[in-house]
Amino acid sequence: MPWGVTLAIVLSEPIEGLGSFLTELKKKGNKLVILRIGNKWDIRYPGIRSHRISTPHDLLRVVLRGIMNWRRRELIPLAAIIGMELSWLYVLLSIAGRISGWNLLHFFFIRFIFWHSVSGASSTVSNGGKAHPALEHSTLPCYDTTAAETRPLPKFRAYRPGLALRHTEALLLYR
Amino acid sequence: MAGTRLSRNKVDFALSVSEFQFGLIIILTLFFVVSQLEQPAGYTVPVAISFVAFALLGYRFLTLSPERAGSGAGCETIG
Repeated sequence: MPWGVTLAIVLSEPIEGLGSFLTELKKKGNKLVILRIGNKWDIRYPGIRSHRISTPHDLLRVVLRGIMNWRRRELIPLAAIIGMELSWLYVLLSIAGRISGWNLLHFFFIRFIFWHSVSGASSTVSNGGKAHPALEHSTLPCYDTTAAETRPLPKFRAYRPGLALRHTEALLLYR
Repeated sequence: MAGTRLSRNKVDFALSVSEFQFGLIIILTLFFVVSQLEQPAGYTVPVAISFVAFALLGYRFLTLSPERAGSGAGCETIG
């Protein structure tokens, strides 16, 4: 394992021999973080940070705190680079949405990026599929879901880490 | 996974400039494609402004960081 890699171990239940395994990894210089899913166990290992994850918001809070501590100095330039990428990605998704007939902007920017806070339908669906009168002659990408020639949105499942990792054990590697 | 490529790179002045150059080529190409469509898009100006604003924001904070000052990247002293 290359130097500097942070190892996050997500567990639903403790594994036999985990302590010796973690101690060995720690001696080799790996940075370790344990994410404990659920309330079944509360074992702490010396020198290794551990966080309890009960809800998806706990995972989000731990990740955001780790990012803040990890790259405090690089955070704003990194956000600027991501903003640049999102700018041209917006145009790309808009063009692809026009060609395919799928509202890819809604899927990517709302369902994917803001997955944790949005669970409802889009505004065009909630008002019966009719666009707002102010948007009828707008050049902004606007999709009438009742139009016969419009293809239906592909069914994507929102990513729910709390549900996905409830009874599973995963090994996440990231820097 | 989203953001994996960026997370593997060290964010410095060279990366910011390369991302700006790459994004500029992409965004100009996409604007050309948009102009060829039947219905013109109204978001090109805000997207272009936000793209340049993000580039200047990253440039400003990277020029303030001590890493770049120590590496000597960017402007050179003459004389």
